[in-house]
Amino acid sequence: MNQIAVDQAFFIYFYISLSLLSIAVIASRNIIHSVFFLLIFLLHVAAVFLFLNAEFLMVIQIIVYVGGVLALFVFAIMIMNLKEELKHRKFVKFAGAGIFSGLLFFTVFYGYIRNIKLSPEKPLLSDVNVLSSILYSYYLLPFEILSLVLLVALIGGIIIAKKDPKEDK
Amino acid sequence: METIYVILITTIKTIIYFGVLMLHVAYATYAERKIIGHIQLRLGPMVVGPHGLLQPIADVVKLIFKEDIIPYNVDRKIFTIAPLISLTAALSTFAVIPVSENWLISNVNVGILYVLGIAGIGTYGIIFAGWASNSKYAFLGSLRSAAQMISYEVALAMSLVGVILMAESFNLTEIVNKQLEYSYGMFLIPQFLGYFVFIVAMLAETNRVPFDLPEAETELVAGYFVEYSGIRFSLFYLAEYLAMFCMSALATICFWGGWTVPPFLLTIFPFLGIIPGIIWFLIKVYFHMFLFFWIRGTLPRYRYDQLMSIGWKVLLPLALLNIVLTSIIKYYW
Repeated sequence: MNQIAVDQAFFIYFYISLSLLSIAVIASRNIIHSVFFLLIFLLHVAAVFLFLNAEFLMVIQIIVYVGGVLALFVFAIMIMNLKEELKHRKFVKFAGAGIFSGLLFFTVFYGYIRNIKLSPEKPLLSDVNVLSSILYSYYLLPFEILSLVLLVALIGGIIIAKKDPKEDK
Repeated sequence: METIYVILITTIKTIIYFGVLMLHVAYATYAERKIIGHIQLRLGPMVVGPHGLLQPIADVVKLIFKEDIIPYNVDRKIFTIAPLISLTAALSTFAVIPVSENWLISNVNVGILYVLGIAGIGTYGIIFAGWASNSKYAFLGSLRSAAQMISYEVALAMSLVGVILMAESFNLTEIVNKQLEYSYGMFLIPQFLGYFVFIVAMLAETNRVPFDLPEAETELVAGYFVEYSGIRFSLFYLAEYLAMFCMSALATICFWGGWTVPPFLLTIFPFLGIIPGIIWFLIKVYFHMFLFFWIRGTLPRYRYDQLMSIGWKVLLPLALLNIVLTSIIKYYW
């Protein structure tokens, strides 16, 4: 039993469980159960990143998606008290369209990644160092533009959420 | 063959680490009761064993053999799994925390981010517990706790950015080694502002006094774990104490130089070098644990709006100021 066999065993486990979990997310009747499956799903994605030697991406996946995005989902769901599961008996109405668009997506995707070859050797530097040196030299301008866009979005969010001071009086 | 060897060694290390941690958690509860007792001019537990030394073991046995009650109207699946989420998150953080130079389970390059990210997962255990309990008190407690932990996570992460800037690494071992390059041997001195923010955010993040709003027993009975009993209650309890140990260890590594002795102390008292690193590490961690209990015995609880305004209006600007100052000093010096 060598390294590759162990890696492949883990990958097979992750891909099977990822597919099952993603089905469970949309198939659960209870919306909190969906959130629970989504939590496990996102952690599995993080684990796949770890197996691809992308430690930084793994941690960012956990911090951004698990710590941030999913927490907002939970808050929204709990405060709004959604009772959607009672209205819809079945979700299979759009199954045909869904299968068609899924097939289309994966055909295009397969055509795109078919010719990619993976380099077998591991990168010498850790991915944090590589990422930072590229991000702050070659991609500096797009990075700064992105941060500006995020800042504008933040300020916009605060303005929208803020109460009009005239209304209080 | 090599892979099996690595897996075996990691498993053995994990089991040892786990056992030592459990012993620490058990005796942290004893220490807490004793210290709070002496602060309030009481003796604390005295009956079981000499000076009550066997009290934690008696408590553990009691909690294990109690009936595991699941109330009638709860969401059974989520209710049973919520404590496990909290506990797993709290235990997983220790995978990257180095106890001494060669004693750690995994040396990842993004250790500090890993600890912060995984500690955030513990929030879900609390949210799910509160929601699944189908009780007003538990739900209110869990909402408070989630809001508090999400707010203070920001301040906690920001307070560590100064340390990351000075160490030029996310790796916890490298952060400790970098501190040895200074004669004072710890980031506590240049990063005192960051340390202050870290300590306050650490108290809030682990739901301890003076920020124990989620468990405020005078208003919410016990917060998110009202409906839990027996072993599942003790899992939450365990997760809370593990989080305290994790935060103490993080404070020790990032601000107090981990397992190392400050070099200027070593030149004055050379005999200090004989003491193994793990002893230093444990002394520093115990100091932070004592800090938790000390603050609990001293300070009253904050109001909820005060808690939020401290987090967003005091700690976050302070942490940002610390980042700006550290980067300016680092750039010009």
